[in-house]
Amino acid sequence: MLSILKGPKFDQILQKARDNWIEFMPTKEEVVTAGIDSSFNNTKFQGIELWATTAVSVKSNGEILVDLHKSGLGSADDISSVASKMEIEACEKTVDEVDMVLMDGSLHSQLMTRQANLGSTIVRIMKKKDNVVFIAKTSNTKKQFEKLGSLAGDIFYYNHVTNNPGFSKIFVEKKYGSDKIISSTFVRLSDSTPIIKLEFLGDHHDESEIKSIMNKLYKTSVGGYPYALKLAHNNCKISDKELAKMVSLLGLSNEIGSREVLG
Amino acid sequence: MSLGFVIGESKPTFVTAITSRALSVGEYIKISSDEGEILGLVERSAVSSAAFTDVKNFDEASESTEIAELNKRDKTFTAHIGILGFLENLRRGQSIIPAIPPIPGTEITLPTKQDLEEIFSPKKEGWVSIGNLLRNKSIDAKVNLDKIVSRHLGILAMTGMGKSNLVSLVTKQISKLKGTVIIFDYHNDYTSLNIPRINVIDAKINPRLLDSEQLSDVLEIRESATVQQRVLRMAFTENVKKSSEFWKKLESEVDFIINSDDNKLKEIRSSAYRVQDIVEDAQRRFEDILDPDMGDPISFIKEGCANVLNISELSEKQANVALAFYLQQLLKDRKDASIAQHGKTKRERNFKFNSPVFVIIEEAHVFIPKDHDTSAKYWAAKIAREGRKFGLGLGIVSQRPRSVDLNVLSQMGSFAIMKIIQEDDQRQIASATESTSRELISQLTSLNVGDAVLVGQWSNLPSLVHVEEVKEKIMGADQSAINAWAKADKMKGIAVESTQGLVQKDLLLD
Repeated sequence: MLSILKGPKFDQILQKARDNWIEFMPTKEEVVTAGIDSSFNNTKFQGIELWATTAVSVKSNGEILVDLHKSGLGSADDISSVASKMEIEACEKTVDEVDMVLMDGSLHSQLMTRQANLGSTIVRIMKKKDNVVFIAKTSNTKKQFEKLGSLAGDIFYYNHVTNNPGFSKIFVEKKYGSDKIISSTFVRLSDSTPIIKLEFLGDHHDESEIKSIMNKLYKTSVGGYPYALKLAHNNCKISDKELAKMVSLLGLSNEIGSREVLG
Repeated sequence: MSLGFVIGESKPTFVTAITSRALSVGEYIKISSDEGEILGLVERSAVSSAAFTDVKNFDEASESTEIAELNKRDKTFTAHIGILGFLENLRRGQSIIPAIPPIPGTEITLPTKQDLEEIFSPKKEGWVSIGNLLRNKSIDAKVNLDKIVSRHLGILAMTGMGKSNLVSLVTKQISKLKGTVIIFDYHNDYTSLNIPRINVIDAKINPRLLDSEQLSDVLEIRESATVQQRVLRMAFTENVKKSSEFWKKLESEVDFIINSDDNKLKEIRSSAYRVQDIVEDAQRRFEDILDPDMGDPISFIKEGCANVLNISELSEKQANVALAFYLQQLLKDRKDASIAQHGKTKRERNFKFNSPVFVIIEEAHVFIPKDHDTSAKYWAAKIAREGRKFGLGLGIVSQRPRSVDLNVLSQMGSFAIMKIIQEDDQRQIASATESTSRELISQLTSLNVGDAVLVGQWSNLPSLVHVEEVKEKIMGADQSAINAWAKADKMKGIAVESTQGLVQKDLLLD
């Protein structure tokens, strides 16, 4: 099974990944970071849709900087776009408050797939203080080894070649336009922890900056993942139970047939 | 100062609260409500940490410790609180549970010292201090002695957790009030109890006062030896009981069976020989215990004193017989006294005890066992049921509640329960003490020596207390084997040395 995944040029890819990998043991550096995440949920309700979105910005010390909520009844064609917009709003309110803003997810996906129409806004905000980093726990991109016929995502090969802390050489993608250049690197903060992907705007980022960012992330990370992002994720979950509460708050639970929502 | 808020689903008897600090199990809290202030007892307390959720390995745990310090919101303190009633009513000794559960969001606070003192340290007659509240050390924990004499008391704990200390303390307090206590001391734990008004008696049995079955037990005739028991039944006549030479008369009755020409008696001759041996043997072996010439055993018990009846010299069966005898006599005496005192007939009678008596049975699982009947159990059960009416209180003490008869145990109106680990024991306690919450029982494993859960009528509320140590109690503590061995070895050395020195060399043979 694994042999299929490896493909014919597996060893070559691994060698390339090894060549790209820079071992670096981060040291803890004091910094104020905030993590940003969003969440959405919806439920069909007698032909109408009840939806709710939330976005939160929270510091590593648990202080919540921004807490945004939106909800409505009707057909929300794309609640994920509402959530993304709120995430960007939270980011805008946070960039001036902290040293480093950690966005949950992928910049690539933000700019190119999910919310292309929000691209200019996010570019503006990220450029403001140049302190926004996108961090993804999982990544499907197959950019770096595609010429060698890679079958798995780039992250798979980096995970395969090393267990030590370090980062991959910065990969710059310019094909989305000069104002939307994305620099990315795969990073492992401590021994045997999962690799995470960091994405920055622009092509001016160098290895010393990555090292500095790793030092800053390392200070408040658990299991190789920034605690601020974990807090953000925990703080912005909208569970079915919470939707049920909203149904009650809106007085909808008295309507006939509403029990399915609470189910 | 706000301590936290009620969250989740409230019930009239139970709420959950999120608090600003971890609350201790056994701590009292106050919940404000429109109907009045409510007192609650923390029955379970939990702390969780966001930083440590989903931690999978040592490294993550180590990293999380630093993170957790940064985040003041990291810890969640949850307390499960049993509602005890309105504070105002509790001050008057009434537990009134609110009809409406506290509304989530209601603030909880700490009760004041005065709030707790009014409930746990009432300045009323009959209330005596036995220690302090475990989580509020400045508050005296008082109990109502009237209630234990009228409604009985169970003291249950593993061995070494402070049962005999509490027995000593209760005894001391009753003795101070010139009350009458009788402790059946099976392990010679209380004979050296150094308190005023103490009366130590070596329990003896007057064989004349027994029936043949009891005498058979006392003489240690085996249960399966039915023919020997028959011989004894035949020999133990009314004449024997009345004879001034009890043993001689009994022996002559047995001799009569041995020497009889009656064919029926010939058949049991060999058993009669055995009984003869047993009777002879018993006179020698139990010389100090079986005394046909002693007066009424009850007459040795002094009213207004702490009476320690040392039954440690008796075998289990003998102790059982003795206990049954004493209990029977005590119940009879108190019954007669009460009837004479309250009844319409004013017959002249002699009573030993004119005031209530509190009887304490140690090792209750031996004398009041769950799985078989004993005569002591019969009388203890009778006292548990009827004693209340006649001012005869029963205190039962056991380290194996699971082996104590549940009928008797559930008659106990009050309990002091100390550390208990065995789940069977905990289940038995839960069955016997309906009012005790299961949450509180689950805390029994975590109690330290001297800590006790008090429930029942002798306290205004279920409470976790630390029982004061009775300095006057000399025996009962764990013995140090190391010290004893060292002392024994030293004595051996001294003995060798001294005898060597005493030997006159010139008298030694070559």
